[in-house]
Amino acid sequence: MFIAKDGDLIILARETEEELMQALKMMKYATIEETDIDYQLYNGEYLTPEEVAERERQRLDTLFLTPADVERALYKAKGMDFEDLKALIAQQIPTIDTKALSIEFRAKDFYRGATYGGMRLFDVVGQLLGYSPEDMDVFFETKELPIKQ
Amino acid sequence: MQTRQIDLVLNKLLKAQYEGTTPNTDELYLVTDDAGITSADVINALGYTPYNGTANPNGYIGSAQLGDATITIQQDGEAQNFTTNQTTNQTINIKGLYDYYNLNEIRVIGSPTINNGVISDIDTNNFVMHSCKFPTSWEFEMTFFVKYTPGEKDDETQYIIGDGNVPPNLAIRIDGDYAGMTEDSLSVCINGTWYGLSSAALYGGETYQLILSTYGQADSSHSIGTYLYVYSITSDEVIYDGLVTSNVLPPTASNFSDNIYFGFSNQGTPLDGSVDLTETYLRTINNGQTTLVWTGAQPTIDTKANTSLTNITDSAKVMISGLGMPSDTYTDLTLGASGSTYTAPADGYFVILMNAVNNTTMMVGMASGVSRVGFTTVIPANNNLQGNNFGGFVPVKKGDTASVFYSGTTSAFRFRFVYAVGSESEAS
Repeated sequence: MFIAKDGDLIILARETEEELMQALKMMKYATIEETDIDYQLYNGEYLTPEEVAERERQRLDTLFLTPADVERALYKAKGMDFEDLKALIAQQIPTIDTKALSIEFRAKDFYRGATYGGMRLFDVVGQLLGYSPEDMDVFFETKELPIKQ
Repeated sequence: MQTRQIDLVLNKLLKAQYEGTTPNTDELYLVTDDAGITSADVINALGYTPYNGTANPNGYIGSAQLGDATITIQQDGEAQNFTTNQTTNQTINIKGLYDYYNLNEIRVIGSPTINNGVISDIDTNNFVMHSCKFPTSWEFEMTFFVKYTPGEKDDETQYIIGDGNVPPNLAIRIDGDYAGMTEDSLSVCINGTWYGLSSAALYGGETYQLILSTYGQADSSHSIGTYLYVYSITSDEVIYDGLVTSNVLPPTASNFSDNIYFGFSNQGTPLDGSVDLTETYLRTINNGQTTLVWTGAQPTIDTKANTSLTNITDSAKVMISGLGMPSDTYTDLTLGASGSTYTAPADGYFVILMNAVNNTTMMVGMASGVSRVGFTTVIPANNNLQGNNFGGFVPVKKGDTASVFYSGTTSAFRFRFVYAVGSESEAS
């Protein structure tokens, strides 16, 4: 991969030098370098794949839904409301503090990255309902839970 | 052998007519000794009765000096003779159309000496037009009136006047003295109407070449090296402009047709804000007939333009008001990382529109490096933004830069440089 830099800032990256030079039309740059790193443009910055994954996780964790959004999707996909969900959690995780859990369910917004008792809350909830963490990411972006039996 | 009888008329009358001034009668000479032309012919051609200088030689050359001077031109290219009753040895410069058919070069075709009243060895069969200078310091305009004998017109003659049925009267006017004579100095009168020498009317519409004379000037500096503008009144546009590099000016017939045009020029410099127009002249041309509108000292363009724009046409004002506005010419660009800088190739506008995404606070901003003109747009996170665009533009001058900053979204719906109307690449 070839990258163009203006000072320390990577301003453009392309697979070949020819593609890079063509795309640099009118752009101010200082150097052209070849690199083994597969830089990707993420939110205005050229980052390594590891950095992209980290930034994407941070972005997804800040997604949020209202309790009504969550309960509506839960009922649509599983025919359950919050009471059913809390009962399921208490059944599957007997050690959980059900009163504290009820307080969490009264939160104004539910963030994808919310934690409870050292657990990523919605990873755990998803697992109890048969959903993967990726399914839960989709849920927070689309407000729709995949239909699963 | 076919011959033509040519009477010589030495006068400044036509020059005076051309300039629109009252002629000095002392300078008018009409040679009518030869029977080939009548006074009516001359009066018809001039539009008024010229002064007969024969009665008032007073140091000038008149008919008494030239007597029955004739130029005999043989169409076979053989001997040609110019005879006069001037018996003193003297030099005569004769200029003619070098290329008879194309009428595109005037040159001295002979400088023989009058020897006992006989001039010989004019070694060309081209039509001899002009000009002579006698041993005195006199320099003058000289006009030939050519009388063609009916029935003796040959093809070449017909070609000259464009129509075999056209007129027996042909007057050729030469502005300036012989030393400065060029095509620009020549006009031809047919039946009382003046034509630029190489106008379409004169040679069958093959080409039409505008002749702008620097009348009355004793050198050729107003022709070669002159910067010429030709305006069409009908279309209100410049239909030709350029530096005159030869004695015959473009443009061609397709540019001129039968409309009325303005033409003006000055000394070798394009018209811009600093041109002194004191050497500029303006003529109207209508069907080949030229009329001098004005010449001489004029205010400079910059003075007039800077004070009132009164010398600007309505259509020009419309054009001027549009200069600098966005044109429909643009170049699409690749959006680099946030903070990248782009350099304007011409006066114009950097335009950016970002694709919005849901549930993410987005921002895009752009600022020019010189003027600091710019914008910033922030879109708060919302679930219903997908499919919309947001952004703005920044005007820049050529060479100025614009830096783009953005976050929350990485994809540009449109990122381009739009050339301003009138900028270099927009016009090309």
